[in-house]
Amino acid sequence: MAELPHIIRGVDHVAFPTFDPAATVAFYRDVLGFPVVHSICAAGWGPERHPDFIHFFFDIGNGDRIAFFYYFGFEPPRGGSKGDVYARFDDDAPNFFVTSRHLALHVDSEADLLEYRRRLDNSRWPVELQLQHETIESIYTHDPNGYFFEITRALRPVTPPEDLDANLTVDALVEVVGGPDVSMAALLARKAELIVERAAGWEPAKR
Amino acid sequence: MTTHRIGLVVPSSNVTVETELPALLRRHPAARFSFHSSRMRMHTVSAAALAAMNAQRERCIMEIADASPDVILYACLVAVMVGGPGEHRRVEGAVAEQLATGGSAALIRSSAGALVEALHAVQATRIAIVTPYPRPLAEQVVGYLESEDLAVADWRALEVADNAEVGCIPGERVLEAARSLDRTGVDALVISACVQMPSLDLVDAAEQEFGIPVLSAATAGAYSVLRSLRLPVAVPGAGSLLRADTTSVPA
Repeated sequence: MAELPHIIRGVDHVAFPTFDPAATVAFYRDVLGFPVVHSICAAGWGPERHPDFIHFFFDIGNGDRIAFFYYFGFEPPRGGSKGDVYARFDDDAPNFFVTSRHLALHVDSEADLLEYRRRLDNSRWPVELQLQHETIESIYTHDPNGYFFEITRALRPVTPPEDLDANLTVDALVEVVGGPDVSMAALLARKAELIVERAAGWEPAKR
Repeated sequence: MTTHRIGLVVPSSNVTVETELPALLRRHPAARFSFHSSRMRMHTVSAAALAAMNAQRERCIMEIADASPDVILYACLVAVMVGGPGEHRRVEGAVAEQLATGGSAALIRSSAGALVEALHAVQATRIAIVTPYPRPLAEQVVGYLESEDLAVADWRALEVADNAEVGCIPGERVLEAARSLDRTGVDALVISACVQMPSLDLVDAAEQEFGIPVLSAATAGAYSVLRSLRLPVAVPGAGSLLRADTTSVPA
């Protein structure tokens, strides 16, 4: 397969609804210190006649932005007790699933990570969890909308062999989910086969 | 024949653009138009009053977009040009984003951008202009046009700050100011760089008299609106600008 030129340039904005714009501004602007950089006042002029709304944006570094929609007079659709204002789940929904969809922002150093920890801990939204993984260290909380929110730093750079390994995993995954046995065992078996198939083409690591 | 809805965002004291633009487009041979306005409070043409007026733009776009116009003209030239070089692109861009975010298909033009577009359309490079504005604002308009690669050879500021009065400036006074301009080497004349200063009846006669294209904020606005709607530019009796496509249109 021919390589597609990789010309995308990061996040323009990621957008979420909010039903509590005051707390959302307090969390992102006043607690975290993310500047408000843009807003749009609009109405539902298209085929779907939805309420008047405000779309407002915070800078999350690199000129990337997190944005919110606030719809006047619109009540959140009903749902269970778990999740966030966008997606609500019943009590029996497992937490790993509920928190699986989240936004992680990046900082360069431990000092920067701890600075955000300090800001959050002095607020209504203290850090709920600080985790050190093999390659990353992260802090987590929920924003006023219930969105699971992470700030993370890399402890070491991701190396080319990890990219190679990730591609083997992903290729194996795509094949296995289309087959009769969708399991980790099947994936790892297929990944091992792919390694054997492709190893002939690999160059020895230069030391 | 479909009716094209034209939205106008106008200073509250403006009466002229709502007169001249319909008068022009009524003469169009192949299309019908309806006009719908939203108003921003404004009485005195000063930097502070213009800033206060611009702050009302978002509300006006909300109001006018509710009428599902095909194109919206932000019809205060000086309010945009005092924002400094390139401001019409920023204003039009912000409005376009506001419209798109709400799912509106309306296009957006500004009288400031329309004048620049129309001057380039007649291939003007060296122009003379008549404005009603107080001198400091007129200087900003001149600077704005120069930043768009249009050399302003000579200009007049009639220094009328009350916007209601601007709407009553007699045609003879405007024509007199135009006649007094040094038109040496000038390849287009803007007889009214203001949508509120009446000039529609002067344009064709002035073009005959001076022998160069004569434009006004209103004729430029009409030109830009027609181009935005991909309609032929074929409006008689208002200068060569609005006859650009006349030969190609069956009468």
